[in-house]
Amino acid sequence: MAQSSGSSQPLNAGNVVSAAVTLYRSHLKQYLGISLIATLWVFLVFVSLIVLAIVAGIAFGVARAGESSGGAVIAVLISLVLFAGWVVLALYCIGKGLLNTALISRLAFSELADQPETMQAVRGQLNRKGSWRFLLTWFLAGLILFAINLGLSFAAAIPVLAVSAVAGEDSPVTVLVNLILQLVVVAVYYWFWARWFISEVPLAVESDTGSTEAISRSWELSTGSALRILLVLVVASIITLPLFILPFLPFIFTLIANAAMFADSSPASVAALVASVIGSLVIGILLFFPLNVFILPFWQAIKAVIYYDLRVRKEGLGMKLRGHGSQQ
Amino acid sequence: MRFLNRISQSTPESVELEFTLAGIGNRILAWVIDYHVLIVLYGLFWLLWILFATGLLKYLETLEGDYSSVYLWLLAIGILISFVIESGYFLVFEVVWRGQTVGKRVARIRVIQDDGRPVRLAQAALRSLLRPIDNFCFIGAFFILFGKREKRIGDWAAGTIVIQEERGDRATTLQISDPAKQLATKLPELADLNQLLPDDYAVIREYLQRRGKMSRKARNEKSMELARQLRALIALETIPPDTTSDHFLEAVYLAYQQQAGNGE
Repeated sequence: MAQSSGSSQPLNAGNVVSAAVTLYRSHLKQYLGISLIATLWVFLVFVSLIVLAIVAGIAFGVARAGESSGGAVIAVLISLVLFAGWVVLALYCIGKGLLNTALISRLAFSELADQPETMQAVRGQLNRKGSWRFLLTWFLAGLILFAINLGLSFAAAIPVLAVSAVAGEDSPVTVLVNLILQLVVVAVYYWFWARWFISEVPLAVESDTGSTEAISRSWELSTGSALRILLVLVVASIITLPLFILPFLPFIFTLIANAAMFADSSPASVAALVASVIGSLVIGILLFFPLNVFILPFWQAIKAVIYYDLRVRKEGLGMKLRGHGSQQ
Repeated sequence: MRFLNRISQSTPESVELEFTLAGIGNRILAWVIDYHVLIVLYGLFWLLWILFATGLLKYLETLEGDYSSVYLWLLAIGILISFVIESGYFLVFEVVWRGQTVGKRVARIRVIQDDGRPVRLAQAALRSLLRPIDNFCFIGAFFILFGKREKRIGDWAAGTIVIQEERGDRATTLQISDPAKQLATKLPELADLNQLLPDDYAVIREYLQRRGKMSRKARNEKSMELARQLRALIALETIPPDTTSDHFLEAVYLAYQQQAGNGE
């Protein structure tokens, strides 16, 4: 099929978000379906933890009723085995959740690149690749960022300690230096975070990219674009802000409603307070899951557009002359 | 890009004009930037106002009479002036910069009237006065998100739309190497440059403009790919020895330009 010459223009931060919104709206049903599956996998981790707690509680209850020391040992063993089983199950579920999450980005990308694919075909491809690869990429990116955060905090602590030794702990100079360094740490951390923001997308899109390669691909592609990516994230966050506040409303209302109880320190009211706060948090988490179904596809579409735009900029994706399809 | 909403409008002279709408992303981007500018303006104003108010109150203390309600008046006037600053900021910029504010300029978007004419005082004032309603609980954002023409309440009232600035040719001068310049003089005899369409030329120019920011490996591959395709298009039988693909693309770019120049 003869195609006309053309090239895709680089997008500014605002257009990245607008394109993601358009993609999400035009594929609403499909993306929501995948997002529901991804969220249910992660929800399973939460539910299985509750089941584990109940089973362990029953085991200990039975052991206590028997009043033999052997029963307690068995109860501990049962709990440990169950916990180990839960960890394996949790990793499996998170892997599956991440695979489905990345699937949305892959479908969005193929739409952007004008080479739409069917969900079944892509899901099969990603399953063959293995959900453990998505888990590994997620884990590696998290680990690297954790290490960077730790390193930055240490690096910032040294000058603060030095200044406080000279100027005194409570001097305004120490407070000011501390404040400035904290801000610098946050800024530098977010810069790194932006560099690995899309790391699962190359894994989902590029057939010969593995877990560690995906991390380095994300780093390469985002060279010189970290600030623009952060700007995209700011704009996108503002769109999702109203939805994110929703699950925390019960928690906030409980705190306000029970504000008087904070002053009262009798054990009964403390217990009531703790119970209502925990209850509202559980409600918040339960509300978060259905909301996540709606928010997730938007962020995955954002990741897809960022990845697409980076490839347009760095690799001239979509730049082609007449009569030739673009090669991936 | 086809993922951005386009709209066609007819002007009072019944000329059809096509615009790309600004999009929710650029609207929010401009909003974020404008309100950061406003925060700085507020900060400056309140600093000056507090200095002025403390000075005034100190002076009044030296006079006789009861001035205890003055500070409330000062606070009220301060809040009123803040509102004027916010409305005035958008009003003045949109009128003076023909539908742009600082944020809109960065986001490369512009407010125009529904029929394509630039906004005037009346439209800018309506948009600016209805802004607090649009800001309340993200109402304006929902209107932009779900409306076909991306109008917030202020836009409906004023009869305006917000569009993307068509980007003109960037005034970057392309680096053309000497071997390419020499090759460009020979090309019209060696190949059939008439086969080139303006679209092909645009792609080559796009590559030459953006190659500096591409990664080295991808750039080499893209350069080779385009050169191969181009060679087939213009039926060039043999590429002169020692010509890199980048030189070849530069030469075709230059030769096409010169040919088009001669034709006029």
